[in-house]
Amino acid sequence: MSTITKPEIENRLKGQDTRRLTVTPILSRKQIGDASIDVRLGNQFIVFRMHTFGVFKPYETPLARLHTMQERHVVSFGLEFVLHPGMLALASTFEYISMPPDLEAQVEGRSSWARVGLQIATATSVEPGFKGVLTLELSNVGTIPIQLYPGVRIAQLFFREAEPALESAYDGQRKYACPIGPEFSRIHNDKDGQVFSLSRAT
Amino acid sequence: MNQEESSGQSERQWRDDILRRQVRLRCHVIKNLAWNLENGGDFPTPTPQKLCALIRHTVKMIEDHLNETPADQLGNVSLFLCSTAEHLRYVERSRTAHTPWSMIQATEHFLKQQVGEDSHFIIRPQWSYNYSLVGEFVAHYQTSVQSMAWIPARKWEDGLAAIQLTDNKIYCIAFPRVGRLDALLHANWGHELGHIIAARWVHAKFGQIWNGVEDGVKKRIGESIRKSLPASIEEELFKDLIVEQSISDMANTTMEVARHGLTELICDAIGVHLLGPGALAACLEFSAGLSLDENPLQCRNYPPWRYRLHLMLDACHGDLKERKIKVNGRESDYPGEVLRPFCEWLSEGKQLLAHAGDEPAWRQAIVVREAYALIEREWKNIRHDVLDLLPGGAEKPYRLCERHAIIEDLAKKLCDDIPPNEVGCWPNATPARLEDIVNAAWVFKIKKQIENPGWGSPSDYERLCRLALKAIEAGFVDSEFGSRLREVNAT
Repeated sequence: MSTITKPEIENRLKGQDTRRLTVTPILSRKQIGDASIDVRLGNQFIVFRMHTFGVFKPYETPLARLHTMQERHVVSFGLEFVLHPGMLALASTFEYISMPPDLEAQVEGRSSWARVGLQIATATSVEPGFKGVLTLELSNVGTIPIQLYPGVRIAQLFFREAEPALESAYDGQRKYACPIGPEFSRIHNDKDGQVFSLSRAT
Repeated sequence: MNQEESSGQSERQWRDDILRRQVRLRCHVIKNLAWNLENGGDFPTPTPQKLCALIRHTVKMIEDHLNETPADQLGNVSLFLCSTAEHLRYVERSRTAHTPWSMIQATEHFLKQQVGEDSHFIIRPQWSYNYSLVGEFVAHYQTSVQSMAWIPARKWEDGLAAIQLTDNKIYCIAFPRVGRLDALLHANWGHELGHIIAARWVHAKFGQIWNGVEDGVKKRIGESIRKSLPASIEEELFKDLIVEQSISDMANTTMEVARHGLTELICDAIGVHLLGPGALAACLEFSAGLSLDENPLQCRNYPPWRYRLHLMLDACHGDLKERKIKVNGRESDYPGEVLRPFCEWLSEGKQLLAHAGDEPAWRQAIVVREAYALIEREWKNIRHDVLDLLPGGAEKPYRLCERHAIIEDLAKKLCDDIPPNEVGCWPNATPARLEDIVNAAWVFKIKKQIENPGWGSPSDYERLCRLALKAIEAGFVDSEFGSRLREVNAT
């Protein structure tokens, strides 16, 4: 399993067969690096309404309550979103990604952002066959507020060949199917977590 | 002065004092509301904030000149302020939380291209299941201020410069809230835009056309009335009075039916001109639950849907014909495998909507018959005149057959669950146009419905709408920012 480099990334982007990789739109050729593609920040953000709840209990909090504790903001292109120290915001890539069945990707932050305290993603793996924008978990671990603009290059994708290639393409029935913006957490759907939390309750 | 006069004057004075205080308070409240909305953020475009600024500016002028306001005008000013406050609901509803925000910036850009950069659009949902256009607001406030003689209109106009609204226009387009994310149905926005053009045409030309036919219409209405007069009215003078009054009333009704009918038909024509078969498909779906043959006299002079759809189908006729066309110098079959289901679905609609047999019942009343005889005689020229009113660049109709290679490409992307925001493949891709995205989405939807009757669950529709919305947003950002990025990166 090896990381693919620029010539192969470009071949995959141009390809017409099932091995085709789609990252759309790529606004500038400079986004394609030696072994990665830079992705841009989308314009939707989900933040927590900290004043409306106490402790987040993933398997006990009703679904409706999960929605009331988070809110979605849309920032027009050209305007800014400020991430304060200690704040977590869900955002997404501007680019829509369609992964072929024989590639997986890793999302990494860009070092320029990391140096001012911005962490980009914790759920970093993108599975073969995934389609959609990628949800990014932005957090400011620095000490100064960071001004972010939708459209800026925020993260990079590294691709690796997955062996053997998945026979059936991504079926679209997974927890997060074809998203076009950041998605709320659906951790309450995890059945095994419910088993453990129930055992504790009894 | 006797006691009665004295008490009358003091009563008036007393009421005026109340009103003046009320008006001052209302001005204060409306200004604050407008300021709060204007600075509350979360709008997909700056237009809602422009309307807030316009309202604040106007209300401030009223407040500043309250002491000069004549007592007998205070009631009118109070009513005007109430109606002004209602306009703020257009702003409130246009927040991103209520709108399909990802298509608003792109749509406003598209609408401006058709009527001019000086026009701005608020796009917001409404609870009633309908599309509508309200405005123009700057002219509305200008007329209102001009009618308040104690306010210097010139000063109000000068103030427009500070809020960048000199010679600008603001409209509000509403769409059904329950279809909020349905980017395909929003092809109806082309029709709403048509109201701006239709109003210009009606203002400039309708009177002229009506004057040319009025005498003939009155003559035929008179003959019809005389034939149906009961024989029991023997007195000639009395008979003539009844006839003259009826002729005048019925001629007015005829004029209204023709004027309103033409307005709607012009809007349909503009919609199809700008968005092609996508606009037609949106109208076909929108009208599916409504009566097709409603008498205009029973539905606020609206033309019957069957009539409207026929004219729209005629305008798209060239896109529905099977034939050989040339693409990049090579001959190919039109509509081809991808577009065929959509074109066949529209053609099927044309056959099903065709009238077989007698004249429809709605044409039996002479006022409707006369109005539609006028419309039919003049329609070709009117349509031509109206399309001439569109600014340069929009004079060419949207033709599916001319865009079919692009539409095929975009529809195939939808089949692969990829938003159709660019034509072609990297590195030679170009951003897709809004009208191509909408038509490709229709092509995909009808193809799926026909090929797989099981397709069409709420999640299928939601996915299609989301991909279309993402495509409209990405296509817009690409066309707006992409070229600048490429320039920056080239240096």
